[in-house]
Amino acid sequence: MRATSEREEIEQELTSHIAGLRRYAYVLIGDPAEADDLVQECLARALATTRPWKQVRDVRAYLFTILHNVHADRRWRFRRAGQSVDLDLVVSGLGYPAPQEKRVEVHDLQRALYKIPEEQRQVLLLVGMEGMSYREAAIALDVPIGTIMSRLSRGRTALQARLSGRGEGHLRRVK
Amino acid sequence: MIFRISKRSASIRDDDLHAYADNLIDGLRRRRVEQYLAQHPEDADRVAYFRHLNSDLADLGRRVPDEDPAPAIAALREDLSGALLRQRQVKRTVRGAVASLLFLVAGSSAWMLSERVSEPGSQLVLAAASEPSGQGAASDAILEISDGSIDEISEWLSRRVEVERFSAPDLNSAGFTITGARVVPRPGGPVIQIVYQNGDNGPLTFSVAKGGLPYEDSGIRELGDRQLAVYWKRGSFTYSLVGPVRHADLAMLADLVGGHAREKATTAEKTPPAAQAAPEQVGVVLVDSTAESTDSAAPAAKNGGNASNDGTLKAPPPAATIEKIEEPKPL
Repeated sequence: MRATSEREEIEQELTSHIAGLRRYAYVLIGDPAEADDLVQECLARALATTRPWKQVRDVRAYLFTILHNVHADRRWRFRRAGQSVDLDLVVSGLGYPAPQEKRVEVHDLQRALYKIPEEQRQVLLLVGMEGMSYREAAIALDVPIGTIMSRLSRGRTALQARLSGRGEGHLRRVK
Repeated sequence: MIFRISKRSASIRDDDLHAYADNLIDGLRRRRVEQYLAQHPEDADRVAYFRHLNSDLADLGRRVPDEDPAPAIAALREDLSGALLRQRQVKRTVRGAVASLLFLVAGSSAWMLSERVSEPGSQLVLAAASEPSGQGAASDAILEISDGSIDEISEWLSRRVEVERFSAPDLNSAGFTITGARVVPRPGGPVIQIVYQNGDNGPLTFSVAKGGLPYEDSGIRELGDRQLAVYWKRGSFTYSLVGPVRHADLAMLADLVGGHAREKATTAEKTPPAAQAAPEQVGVVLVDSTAESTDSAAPAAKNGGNASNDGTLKAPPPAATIEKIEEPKPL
């Protein structure tokens, strides 16, 4: 009975974070299929963990940590195999239509995000999109808070520079 | 516009401005930052920019399709039941559970589609993904890739559904250019969708799925909101075209696409389209625009379309043959 209850708690907790994990992975990577693979492997690892869940203070941050570990592992494997992802082919056209001006702005942002270092992009997305605290982001990325702060600052500056130089590249409406 | 970091008092650091913008400080420290910003408009502009950026990032996140937690929970619970008790199989079973979970929540369109598939008497399986009503509207659904040539998009689709070669139909001769493609998961296998545009006419959505229809071919059907649909089945695959085009134009386009979807060495000239069931191994559409045959595997013309006598779209080029025989693997 108790085991059932614990299992249900784990399921509920994990399920409540899937949307955030997928959202983050989608925007971080830009490829929905790859993002789903990433989240799937992340959840599989989380469920297969031998660590007692009650010891996990911040499940969301813990899941994002696993997600980043999986991502790092996969990148390493891809690099070893000599594969690469052509970001130019990945125009994700995410989701629901927004008003036209806003859509162009979001597309600008999306393209600019892929041109800054991923470590900065990670922090920007965790804090700006997922609304994580710096402490949570530090746990998720397994780095000190100071590193989060510096990456956040550099990331915002880099994005600002990219976005202020609009005109580079061709913006295209994706239906 | 690039902001410059102004000189500020020692008590207010750059980190404070970021934390203030992110609503991560309060109390006395927050008031100090506010006082500082009131006297330093340049930094106030920076903070406003940080907040604007956060808002845009949140907006970007909202554009990722949301999920329905209820079926997700149910699927997870069902698939996990017993699995956690069998420790030796935990990892494999859980991966299956998670796969099911992700499959079920992989997007509202996919979910709607799967529900429609299970509806008794449901017919518009492919059209459901393209219907103008509800969340699955063709023009609003997600394009996973765009801005590419037909070859690039075909190559991407081939990788996406893991077939050796998939060629998107070339409708340029009819004035329709490809705008993008997506793969919609559903029970039984993915639906490939390619979206075309012809000036103000469109979007025209071409879909290919494995199986799924309880009939062979249909005539042109009205879906409402000026949308017409035609779908046909060949072998184990079903094709559809949906778009806000005229009846005769859709018939011609279906003929054009149907020509591409025809099996090599078909006996089409003598066999009615509805009877041209291709063998099971016939796979997804392959285009060979240089092929000689001219007859069509699509059913539209027999159901009233007469594109060649209608004027607005160009006549179809010679039809194509299918050479590669592969089936898409389930996502």
